[in-house]
Amino acid sequence: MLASDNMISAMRRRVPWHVGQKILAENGLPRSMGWDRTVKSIAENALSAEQEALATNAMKEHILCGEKLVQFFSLSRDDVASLRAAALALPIPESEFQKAYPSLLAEADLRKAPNIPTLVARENGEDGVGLIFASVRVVTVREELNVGDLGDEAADALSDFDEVVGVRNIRLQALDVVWIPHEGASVDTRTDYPKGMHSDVAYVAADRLREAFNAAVGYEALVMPENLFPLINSMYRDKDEGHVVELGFGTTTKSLKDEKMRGRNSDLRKEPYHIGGKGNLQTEIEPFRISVAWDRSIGPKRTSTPELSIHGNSRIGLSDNPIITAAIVRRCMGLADFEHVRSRVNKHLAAIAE
Amino acid sequence: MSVVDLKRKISTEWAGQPAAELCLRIVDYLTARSSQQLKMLTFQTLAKAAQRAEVDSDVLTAIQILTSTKLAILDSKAMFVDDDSEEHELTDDEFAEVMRTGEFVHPETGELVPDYARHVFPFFVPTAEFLAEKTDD
Repeated sequence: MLASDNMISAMRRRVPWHVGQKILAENGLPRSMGWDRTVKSIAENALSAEQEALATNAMKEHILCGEKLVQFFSLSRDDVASLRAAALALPIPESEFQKAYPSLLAEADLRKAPNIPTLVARENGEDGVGLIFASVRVVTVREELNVGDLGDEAADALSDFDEVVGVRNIRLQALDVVWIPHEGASVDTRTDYPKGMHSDVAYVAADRLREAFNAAVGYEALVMPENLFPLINSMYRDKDEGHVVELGFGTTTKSLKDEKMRGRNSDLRKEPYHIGGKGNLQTEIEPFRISVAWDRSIGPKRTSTPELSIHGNSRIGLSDNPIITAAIVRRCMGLADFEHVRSRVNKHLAAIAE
Repeated sequence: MSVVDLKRKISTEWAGQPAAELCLRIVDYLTARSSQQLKMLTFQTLAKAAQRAEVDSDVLTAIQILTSTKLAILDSKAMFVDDDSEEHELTDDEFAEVMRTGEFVHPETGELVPDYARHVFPFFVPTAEFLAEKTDD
């Protein structure tokens, strides 16, 4: 059973509004103030077939690139070519997930759905082949309860407590991707990582995706993801590489800093307080956490701002062998945004390897 | 021992070893900066000081040389970082106790920390003797 009769309701379940409203505007699709009103308005005035097709295409692009934990695997060009051939030939088994794609199963149906990745679709586009795997993820949400709503007996029993918190396990349908480009020697895995999901859950999901893909192609094709820790310094020190919007770093003067810019169109590298602080040091700062955003023009009056985060912590900064095996990519509207981020990562990885 | 004598000693005792050159670079790095700037030197700091792109085996050997009691250029300290990224610097006695017993007690909770080695990280500071020989503060 599908979540709804139109793709906009499905988009609502995985696309943040600030990205979704740009996608709707870019495709000339109707939108109101927020997802609730947009979905309600479309329920009252159904989309045309052409509009539904545009929404479906937008949903497919977002599945391939929106709000992801990403791991990069460097292979030989021959290995990538073999994987591409294998991916194009893989049979896609029938399943409830597969029948619903690119829409999502209704939440009630997720109880019975598997939590191990199941291949549901293949998208063969201009830049590469994406294999889409569906699974169920559980996110734990804590909500403060109003004791007055629980009845007199419960209110009496809980009267000594200042707060009463309920814990709800919400099931989400994840659509994770293994991307094999038509050119190049790097494959990446993209695991759904919506805000509110714990990073441990996303990392476990990334491992499961890799195992499912390797099982599908019949060998250990993807083994060790690239260490992205060196990218932090490499991107920070490249003043032409987007805007640094967050930087966590240590100093030899024995301080820890976490600096953020308010807004994504300002660059911490140019911010006076940051420059002044560094100016008083006789040593280099040692970053272990970075977020970089890029402004990309997508029309005469519109920009998108895809963002890459490599989130280490002070433990990693103190290590003699710092390793970070995944990056977080957010705010991509579609494939062009993600391909931009991907190309920047690969450019820096190649420079580091030289 | 003066800085000049320290460098001569390094060049003599570890002659021919790649780590000796790295030690000299690290000593020059420390000498060129005031003590205020050298309160916490990580592995990354010392790799940069040694002009190496990463903490390789030569860098580790150089650090070993500089922390050995003969030279007394660097002291080794330890930082415990818990799962909430809260940091607690170990005193020298606490560090010695951990090395002796193989057990570590969380400074806040008082409970034993399982697998503490994943949470305790060395860092380095110039010794008081070396700082006294430096003349740039």
